[in-house]
Amino acid sequence: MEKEVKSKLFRTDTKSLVGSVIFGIVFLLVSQASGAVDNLFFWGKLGMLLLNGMVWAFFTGIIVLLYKQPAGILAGLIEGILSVFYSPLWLSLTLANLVGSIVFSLVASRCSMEKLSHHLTAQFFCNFLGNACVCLGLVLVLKIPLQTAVVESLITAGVDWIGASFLTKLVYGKLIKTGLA
Amino acid sequence: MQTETKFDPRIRLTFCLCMILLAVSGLAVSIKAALLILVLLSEILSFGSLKKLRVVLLIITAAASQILLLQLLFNRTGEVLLTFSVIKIYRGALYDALEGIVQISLIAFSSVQFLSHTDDREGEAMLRAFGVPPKYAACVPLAAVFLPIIKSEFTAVQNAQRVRGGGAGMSQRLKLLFSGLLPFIIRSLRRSGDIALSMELSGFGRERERTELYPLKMNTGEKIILAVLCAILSGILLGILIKII
Repeated sequence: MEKEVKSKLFRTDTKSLVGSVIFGIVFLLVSQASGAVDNLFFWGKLGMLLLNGMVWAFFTGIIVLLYKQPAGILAGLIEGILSVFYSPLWLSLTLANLVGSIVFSLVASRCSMEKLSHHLTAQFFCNFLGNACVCLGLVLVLKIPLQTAVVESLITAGVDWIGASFLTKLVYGKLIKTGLA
Repeated sequence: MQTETKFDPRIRLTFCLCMILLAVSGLAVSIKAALLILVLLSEILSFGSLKKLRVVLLIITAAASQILLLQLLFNRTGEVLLTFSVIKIYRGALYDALEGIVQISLIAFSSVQFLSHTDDREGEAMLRAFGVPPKYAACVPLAAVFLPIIKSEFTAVQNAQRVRGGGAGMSQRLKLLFSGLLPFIIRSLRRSGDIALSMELSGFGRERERTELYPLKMNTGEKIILAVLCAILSGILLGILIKII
């Protein structure tokens, strides 16, 4: 049983290494695009990046499902460090990527990830812990009042939890069907 | 012709970390502003211009306007300075907004200063010097090579979606984002599979230990600077820890 969990948690071949680098860049590009779309809406202007958060949670999950660890951590680090050029919150984003990826893989190693409930459970921990890191960044770096930061993070985590769970289940299912996953 | 004085990347990284930690350590705004000037001065002295730091100006401006808006709307500390019908502007809001803007400027400028002057070769050598296995240190040059390639693929997918009827409106852009997601992921998956196969065929990962073409070397002066910066960094970390406890 322990061996099975370990094999579902780690993958260290070249394909997963290259995949983590490429998906780290894909993650960054789609995050940028979703951040730009967010800023068109009122929630983006108030600092709640709902679509960006959904894309973040989706990529955190899909990378772990496709390539496991340490690919999830590597992709998160690549995305976080390259986002230096796009966000002053890069440090808390990197931390959120690491925490999100680790908790998602811990849940994914114990579930088959074939049911929506598995995705909902994994994304719940991923979203709420990841957004807690972002909340820390909002308070410490941007100096946003604590109550405002907490409310913003809770709304973002709540919306993205549901959205990202459905999106991850849908896309992962389709990738399995194509035979690429 | 501009003269460049480039220190070892480990020195630049330690300097960057010091600045980031000082930015969030709760110092007075005036000290943070002085540190910001120090970062800009170090850039001018080392590289002759501020050209490479210009990339973050737009990001800082956008973040600053967001900080100001949120502070004016939600921060109610200190006395009321101005009143516009139902909106009241408090002294605390303006002070916190100023502190936030100085902080993000310091963090953004110091981190971009480090990243924009560190090439992939130096990044890989630095990671190897820190003891990261060569296989994982190779991620740095891989990311540098694939960033423009994947960017062009992303543009190609977006253009393909636009040709199929995607527009510039809000709902259209939202639709475009999600409809382009799956083709982009599939293209990236295929590409990563092909690249991994060709890398393995070229012998990547066959040897556990790899030789270095450009190993990092520090002279005595650089070693002293690094030691001083490490001492400062430890001091800052200790100060933050004591403050938390």
